[in-house]
Amino acid sequence: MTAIRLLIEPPGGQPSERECRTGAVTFGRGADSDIVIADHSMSRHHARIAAEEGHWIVEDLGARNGTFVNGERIDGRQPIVPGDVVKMGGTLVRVSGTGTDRIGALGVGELGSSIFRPIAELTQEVETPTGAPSRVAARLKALNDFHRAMAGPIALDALLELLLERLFSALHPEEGVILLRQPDGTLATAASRRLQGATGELVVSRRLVSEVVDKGTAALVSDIAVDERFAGAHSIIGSGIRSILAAPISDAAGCVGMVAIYSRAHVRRFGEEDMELLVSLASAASLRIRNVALAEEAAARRVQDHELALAHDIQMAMLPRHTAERPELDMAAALIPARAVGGDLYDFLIIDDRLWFIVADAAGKGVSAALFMAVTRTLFRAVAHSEATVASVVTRMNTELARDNERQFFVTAVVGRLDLRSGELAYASAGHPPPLRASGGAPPRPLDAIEGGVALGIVEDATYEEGRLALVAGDLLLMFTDGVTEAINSRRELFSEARLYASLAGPDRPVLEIVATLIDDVNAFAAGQPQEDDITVLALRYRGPAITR
Amino acid sequence: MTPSGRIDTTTSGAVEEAIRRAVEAGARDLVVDFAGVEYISSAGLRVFLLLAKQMRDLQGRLVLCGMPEPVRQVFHLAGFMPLFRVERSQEAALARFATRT
Repeated sequence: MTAIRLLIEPPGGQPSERECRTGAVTFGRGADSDIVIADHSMSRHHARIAAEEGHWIVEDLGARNGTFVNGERIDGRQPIVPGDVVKMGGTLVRVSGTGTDRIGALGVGELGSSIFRPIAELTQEVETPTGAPSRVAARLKALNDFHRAMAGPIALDALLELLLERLFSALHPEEGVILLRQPDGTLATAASRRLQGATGELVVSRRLVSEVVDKGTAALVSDIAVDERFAGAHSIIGSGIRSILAAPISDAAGCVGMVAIYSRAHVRRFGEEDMELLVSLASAASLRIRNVALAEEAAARRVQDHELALAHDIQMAMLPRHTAERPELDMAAALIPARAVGGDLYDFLIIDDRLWFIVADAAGKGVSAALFMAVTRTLFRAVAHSEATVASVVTRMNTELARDNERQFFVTAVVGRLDLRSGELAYASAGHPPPLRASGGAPPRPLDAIEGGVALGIVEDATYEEGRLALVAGDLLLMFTDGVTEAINSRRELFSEARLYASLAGPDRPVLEIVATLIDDVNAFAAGQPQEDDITVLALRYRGPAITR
Repeated sequence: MTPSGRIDTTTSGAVEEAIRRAVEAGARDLVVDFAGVEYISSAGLRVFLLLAKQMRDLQGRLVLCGMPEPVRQVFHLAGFMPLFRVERSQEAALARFATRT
């Protein structure tokens, strides 16, 4: 006898095609039908199509709404031929020939069944469970346990484990997996579980994900080998999985993941009631998953904030804790990072009655700038001991920082050396605003810029020149980073050099007061506007050589 | 390329990405016109240092042009002007490619 093809068109669903060579195939809403169709006007056991005595027949199985062939209701059984249209409830089954008898085509005995259903339909539907009492009890217990567990505090991992555990005890799959959407939008395995002794790779089929997550539908696949939705899905078919039950994990914000359970050993492992249980559990879990995820994100942020606070403390500890206790000097400094950690730096050390100092600004902000700043400080301290002149210190620091600097980090710096006995000052700038000097009651003005001072770290063979001048007792030196002059207010105006000079003008004051006033002025100008750059000021007053007795 | 607005820590990533795409697409003669740039921070400078380094490695050519005074000042203060070919206008920048082949 010839094989026939059946084109099955469920109401509002995707049509699917089956080829029948021998045997019988049953249609119905019940999960034990060969072809399960989510059609409310269909009976649980609606009809069968079978080969009998060399002919194909359709038989009504006592369906409440009847079975029709070409528009006429049949009574019992009736032969069908290619071209006939069978109507079962709202579902049409079109019969056609196969053209050729293809070798290897499936016999009806191997026919599987599958349902893909919108979640809304499933969650609204209220149906009395009709399965065996033990399975009903197991399902109810699973739901009950799960809800009870979720009433208390539970971590995300524990929640997902519990979901899988309940599914395993109620539905007896061999494998289960939960995918959750990650912050970057991809889906990743958040939990998985398998029976002891299960072998083979744990497979997450892209085809299944697209059916369930992208379309937001629950999926019951009774036999993947004959399910057209998985035709060509080699990874999952090759894995040996036979039946699948999957549901999206969705909340008001959309689909956040998927839970799927598999059986390799059995076709038709799961039924429609199982699907309803899975959907119930998944939707119960979804809201909690989002809440727990938000809480854990907040906790992760707290850990990160804590790390940053530590980094801030470490960085602040790199700054000098005290000013130099020398009778020849008054010193004051301030550093206000724009973020928890920053790229600004000031430092000083005294070597043989000479004060070495640096004010520097590493490019960028945050941790990368802070690390570069730390390297700069270490270099400064090491090199100041080994080099004779300011120019050679800066040149050497640049060479070290420029070596293998693939990412082109750079730091601008002003470095100086003040001879505390003579007042002789040598200074060099590497792409940094020059120091200001106020002398003899005159307003401060910048020291002469020195040629060729490229920021440190970029030009490996750069050389630097130094300027020299003699300070007299009472002279004030002020070093700063451009975070001062480029401090912004809410109108994005800059603090500017003009305001810097205005703040420094006026009667002579102790350096501590000068720095405090400048910071106050910058803060008053910014008026709470968050700053984009660190703000650093270092002020020195040379009091003349110490009187030795 | 004609970046505009502020090139700072927040926006430099996007500028860097745009440049990366252009270079990956095969651009070897690049003109960056700063006429629309209001402000550039040190993080912004880094993007162009990286670009200059990359173009050197690829034996490409990079010309900056149209720099408003505040932008020029930032390049100048950091000592970076000698590291770049800088022209006043886009025309002058493009002319540079025509004469130096």
